[in-house]
Amino acid sequence: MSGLDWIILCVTLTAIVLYGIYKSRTSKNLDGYFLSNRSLPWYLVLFSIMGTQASAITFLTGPGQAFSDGMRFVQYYFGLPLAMIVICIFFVPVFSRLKVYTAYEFLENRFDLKTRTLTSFLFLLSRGLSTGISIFAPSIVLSSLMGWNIYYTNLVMGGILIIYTMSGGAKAVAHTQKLQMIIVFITLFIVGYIAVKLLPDAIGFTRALHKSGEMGKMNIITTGFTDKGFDWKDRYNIWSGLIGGFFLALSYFGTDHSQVGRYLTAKNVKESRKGLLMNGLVKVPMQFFILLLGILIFSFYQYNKGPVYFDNVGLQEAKQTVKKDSLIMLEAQYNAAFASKHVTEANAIRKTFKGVMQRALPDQKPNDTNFIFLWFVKENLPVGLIGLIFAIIFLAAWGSIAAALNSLAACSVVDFHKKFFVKKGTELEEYKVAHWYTLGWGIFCIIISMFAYNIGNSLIEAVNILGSLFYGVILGIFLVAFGMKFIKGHAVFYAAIISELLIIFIYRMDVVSFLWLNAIGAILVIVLASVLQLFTKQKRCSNRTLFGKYILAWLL
Amino acid sequence: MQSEKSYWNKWYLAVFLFLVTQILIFYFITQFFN
Repeated sequence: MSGLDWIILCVTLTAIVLYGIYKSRTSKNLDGYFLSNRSLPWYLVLFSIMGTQASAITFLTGPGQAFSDGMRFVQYYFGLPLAMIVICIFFVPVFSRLKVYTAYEFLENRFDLKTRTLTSFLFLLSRGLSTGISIFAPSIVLSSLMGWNIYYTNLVMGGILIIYTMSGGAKAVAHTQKLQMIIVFITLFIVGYIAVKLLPDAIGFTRALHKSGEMGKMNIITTGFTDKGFDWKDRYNIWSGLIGGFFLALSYFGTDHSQVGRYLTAKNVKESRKGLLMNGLVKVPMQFFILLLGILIFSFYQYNKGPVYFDNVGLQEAKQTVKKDSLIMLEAQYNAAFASKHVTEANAIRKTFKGVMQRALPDQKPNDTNFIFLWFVKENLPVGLIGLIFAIIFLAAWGSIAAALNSLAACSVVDFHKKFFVKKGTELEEYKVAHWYTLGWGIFCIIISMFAYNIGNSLIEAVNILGSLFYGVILGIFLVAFGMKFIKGHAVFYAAIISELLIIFIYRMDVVSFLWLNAIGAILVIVLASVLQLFTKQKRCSNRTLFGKYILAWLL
Repeated sequence: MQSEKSYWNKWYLAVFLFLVTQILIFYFITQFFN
């Protein structure tokens, strides 16, 4: 990276930290620290929601995903707008009316303390681990590509944001996310423009898309049906996107406090709803555009020779194994195919090469998808812009990590510290404790990211799966809470535990793609809680009355 | 109260129709470029 790139990178990151500190002033109590005194307008809520969801990996994986697998990944987001509508109708008014600090506080109100504590604990476990990974995942890409020290990269990726997150709480998080998202969008538009300009003169935007379409990359809508019927293991198709994606988005935005905490900061129900619905309007086009960048990069590499494998560090490691000769031979074939302009053959060799890489390093599950975008940036974009692109990777990471730390601290203080340790502290004491929890979670997540380096890619996958194992069950608990008023705490608590075990069993059977686990988990909790409630109620209530209640509950 | 409900129903309908429109456009793009 040139000196100018370094200056732009450092200035952008410093500016965000200073802006965060500048916006840190808030009232010295939990309401100010965790909820920004419930005072934010809808557009700040929108930026905050988007900034929390869009991590660095979103911008690294998106273009790479389109490059490798085509545009069909966009279908993953089709359920999101529908989930926004449901959350606005059912979740937002309840959270607002009860004036809760955390999403799980509502569960004690509705069921009992053990259900609240279990759900909050599941959140802390999965969010704490996944935040550590969301520090490590972009750091490993940057350090491999640029030769940076992984530990220092982790510290910048996950450490500096703690300054403003700790001092300013939810308000500083929301204001910095607004600025971060604006910088990210402007930069991505510039990259898109340059990517089109870099195509050969005879190849315009439309021809590039046609060429990509011929190679199967413009597969935006797929049905998942094969000659043998519907493929349940097919990850991205319109049905898994609409149904599985709907349940995933419903559980993420409706029950994950890193998101619920964002729209609880709105000044009223109206502003929360507007922020969420605007997110429902802009999310799919935004993802479409990010994936389109990948298609443009794919087109670019049809006319300009790229590497056979984009992760050079992984490649060198694989060349130390018994597969060394196969890899060298395939690389030579790829170079020859490209030199003789047999691009289709070169693409096929690249695919084979990936397969050999996976056999060479089976424990690491090597994948160069996350490296494609930054490789393109590093090799082809003008000086200055490279620094800005690297800055947006950090900014995107900071936005989602800051919101996660704020929500982890909120749940620790409100659901555990105030509930079990210090029940009656002054406002100022609670405010100070909240700072220490934010710092504590920040350090915890950095430690996880440092350990992750030693374990490798398999941990990233494990944590991603961990999230989808819990989300459906947590959603099921909330759906019962909102929609099935006759079901009580005991029934839902034990139903959640049984459902969780069943979900782990289904996952181990490997019969469905992970997106479906969210829907299955939620449905299992609803059905099992209904059955368990039926058994506990039988002693006091006649079966006929109870049957009527069940029918009504299912219908309504 | 009724007018507020109707106001939000219009928002929900707009979000839903926008999604349907996008899916249709994506379908036509898929057909066109394949």
